[in-house]
Amino acid sequence: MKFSPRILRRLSSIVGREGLLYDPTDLQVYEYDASLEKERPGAVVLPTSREEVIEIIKLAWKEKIPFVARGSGTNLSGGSVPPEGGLVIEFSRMNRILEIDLENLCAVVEPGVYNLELSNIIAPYGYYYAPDPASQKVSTLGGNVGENAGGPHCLKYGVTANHVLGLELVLPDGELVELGGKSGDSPGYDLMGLLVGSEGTLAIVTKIVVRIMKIPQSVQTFLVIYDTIEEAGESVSAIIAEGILPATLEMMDRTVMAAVEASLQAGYPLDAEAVLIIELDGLPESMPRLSQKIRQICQHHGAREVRMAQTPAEREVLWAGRRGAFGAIARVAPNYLVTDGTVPRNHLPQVLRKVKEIGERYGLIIGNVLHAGDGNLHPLILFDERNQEEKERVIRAGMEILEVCAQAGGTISGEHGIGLEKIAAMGLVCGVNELRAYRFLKETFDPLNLCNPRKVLPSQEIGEGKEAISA
Amino acid sequence: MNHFPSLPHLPAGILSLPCLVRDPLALEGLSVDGERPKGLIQIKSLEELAEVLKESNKGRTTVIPRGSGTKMSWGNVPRSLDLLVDMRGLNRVVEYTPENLTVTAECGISLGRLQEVLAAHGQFLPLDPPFFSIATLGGIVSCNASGPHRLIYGTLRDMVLGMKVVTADGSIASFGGRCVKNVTGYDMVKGFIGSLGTLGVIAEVTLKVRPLPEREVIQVASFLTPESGLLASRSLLHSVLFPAALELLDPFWAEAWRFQVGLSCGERDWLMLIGWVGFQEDVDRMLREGSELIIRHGGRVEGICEAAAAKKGWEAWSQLPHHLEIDVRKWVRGRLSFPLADAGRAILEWQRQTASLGVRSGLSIRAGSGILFGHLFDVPEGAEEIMRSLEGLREWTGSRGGRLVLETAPLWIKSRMDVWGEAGKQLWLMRRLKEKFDPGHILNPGRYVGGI
Repeated sequence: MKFSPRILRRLSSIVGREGLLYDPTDLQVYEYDASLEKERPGAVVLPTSREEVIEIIKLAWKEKIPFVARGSGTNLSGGSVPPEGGLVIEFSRMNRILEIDLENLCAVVEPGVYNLELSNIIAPYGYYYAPDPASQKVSTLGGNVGENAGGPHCLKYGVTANHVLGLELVLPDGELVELGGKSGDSPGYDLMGLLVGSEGTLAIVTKIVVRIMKIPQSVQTFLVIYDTIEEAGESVSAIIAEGILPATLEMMDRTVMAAVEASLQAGYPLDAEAVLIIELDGLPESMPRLSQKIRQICQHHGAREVRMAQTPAEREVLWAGRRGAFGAIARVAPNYLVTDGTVPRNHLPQVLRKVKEIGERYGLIIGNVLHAGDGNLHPLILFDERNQEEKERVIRAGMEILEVCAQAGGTISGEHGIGLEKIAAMGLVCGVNELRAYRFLKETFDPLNLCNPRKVLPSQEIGEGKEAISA
Repeated sequence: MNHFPSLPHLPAGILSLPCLVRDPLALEGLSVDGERPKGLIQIKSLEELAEVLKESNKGRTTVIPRGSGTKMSWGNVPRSLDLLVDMRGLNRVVEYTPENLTVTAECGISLGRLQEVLAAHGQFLPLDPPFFSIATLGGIVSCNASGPHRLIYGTLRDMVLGMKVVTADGSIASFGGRCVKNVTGYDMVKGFIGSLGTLGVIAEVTLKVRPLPEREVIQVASFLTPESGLLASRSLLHSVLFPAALELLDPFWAEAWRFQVGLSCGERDWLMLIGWVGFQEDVDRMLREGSELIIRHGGRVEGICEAAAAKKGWEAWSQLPHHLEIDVRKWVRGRLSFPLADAGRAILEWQRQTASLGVRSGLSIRAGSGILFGHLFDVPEGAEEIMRSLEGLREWTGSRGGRLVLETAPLWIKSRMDVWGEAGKQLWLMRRLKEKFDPGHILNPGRYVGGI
């Protein structure tokens, strides 16, 4: 689907010639995100201001053109894959940090700011932004809001939704609305809370107020090595049961460690079945006693070795390995499907056993990276997409893993979103009444279904977005 | 009985419900803002609740759910009230998994009872709203009530993982779940928290719980002026320490609180209750450095309440107005919100607007959260200058991006101003959402923002 010259001229008059892409080679870059889905957009616009976003959306509304907001395209469920022939609104030119307000413990940013950039800029003042998705170097805060991004540290500090104080957004009809802000407790329905994690299907965010936090005075990071994955899982439950809430409780299995070592040399043991990365933060006074307790609990549950990072550099290496895990896997196989199931954390060992069985049954290699403390697992199913038969097996195995999570009282996405990829699995955890409520919300904000159509909700729940008009 | 010559009409579907109470005497004390219910239903199960709403929806019978009644003063005057639904019979702990740090309970359970269940496993729900012993879970969630410790633990939107709700047509839906991370579908849970039961009746809630802290204390400090107290709280907020609660009490509340807890201290003016929680060694240090900071800002440490005394101190504070002899029909309790750094200006503005009213008043500041609670007592009926003051305060807080919400006010004030304040441009979005969930407007009609 191509945009008509008239619409292209209008778009160009809003964002300038340099802010508009419609050449097929340019568009190709915007066909995909970090999921397995692909769709060709009709055009891409790169606005530089809220006013331009309003103009773009008013035009889209008038011409019934479906659109999607896009940051860095790191989405793992197809949420930023464009509607076919629709409009991509790309936020890389709206990437200013508008205000750092230490007095009110918040920062005001445009959606295109990278997650890590914000923390880096406020670090010299002793503050940071807590949610830290593994993609934090490149993923944008706008995308984080859309997906309600998590990360290792959300075990103690919560997910994006717990750190957003205010949003400025443009509704699908071009109306500008401000929700929340530096003052808390706005009466009325928590529309801001509903917006965070709505995968860009309700409105387009143009400004974000986030909470910033003081950098803890003391941090202690452990690498704990296990000969079985069960022992690692049991240690996780035991730590939580002891009344310790670490900042992170991450797990990696042998397959993932091997990939990480081959590319990043984080110092992970190659002969172990699993490691935990445990981080404590807070005041230094309690640190020695808590460290001792962590060591005891892990050893009691069969840990082979408990290593403690002695310097910030050592800590950084341990984390670089974890953050680079998905990337490192790419060295082992050309493609992988990452699943994102979440289960009550006490069910983790049992669910991991089932994941292993599924891999064996389908003859597939599955590596595991887990936010174990949150009960959030990311089995990575390795494959080669040129092998169509294998790809189909992968998708079936992925679905089965989600079924296992749902049966264990869990859910099908902890932090990556539903997007396109998991719509078929929505039925595992939602009935008609839940889907009806979602539809109520979608229709409240986006009655014409133009805003990132076909995502989150199964298509029978909502009319298909109209295609771009080429008249 | 003479006052109720004939019972008002209720649809046959409702009249046939076995748990209906229509005794006028029983209904007498349950009026909401002067509106007397035509019937009372004491719910015992989820199915009953669904049945009641289904029947109510058919006959356009208006419904107000009720727990322990500690927040029935909230909201605008209801447009209509046919049926009051007493939720306290729905009070089971459905599932508690200490090793997963989650609990699922029905909404009629009191927070105090829930805390007992959790405490048996060394855990707690880190929420301390007003009346935290008797208030029910459903009421607390519907009002998004919170307390001093929101500074460190957050509010309900940081704790609720899932809920089961019955919508106006009687259908049951479950949102969220038992996982601490969940992005499956929209986060509807957020929409129901603080919605005053206008989108559906919350029947069951799943919450994130925490291990009980090793140590809990209140460090009591006094200050001659609110400015010095606020400077101290600012230093604490920006230090490496983690204050759990920072409550600044004006001399009126300071005296009342000291009397309740039996703490005698000097005739200083303002009192700050500083909460510290955590591991032994950390609390030791925070107390030590906390007192240095207090002294540096001209304050004085008046004492420390440990463990049970800390609990008692917070409990006394959470229900202090009710230890005073207050005529609740002449009482205004307002909540002003503003950016943290505007706390000093909020106090000045409150004093400026209320000083010449000639009524007793009291205020406290939740210094880490940007909230001022202002009270006016024995407000005379029809006093125009009070209306003007409230409007002035509302205008000021609006200029800071905040709100003035009247949590309690005499009927004559409530009938003249929206207790929630202006909802702004997003009101039409809220109206549209309400229209979808409750097209017959049977749930709490008129009481919510903008008359929703």
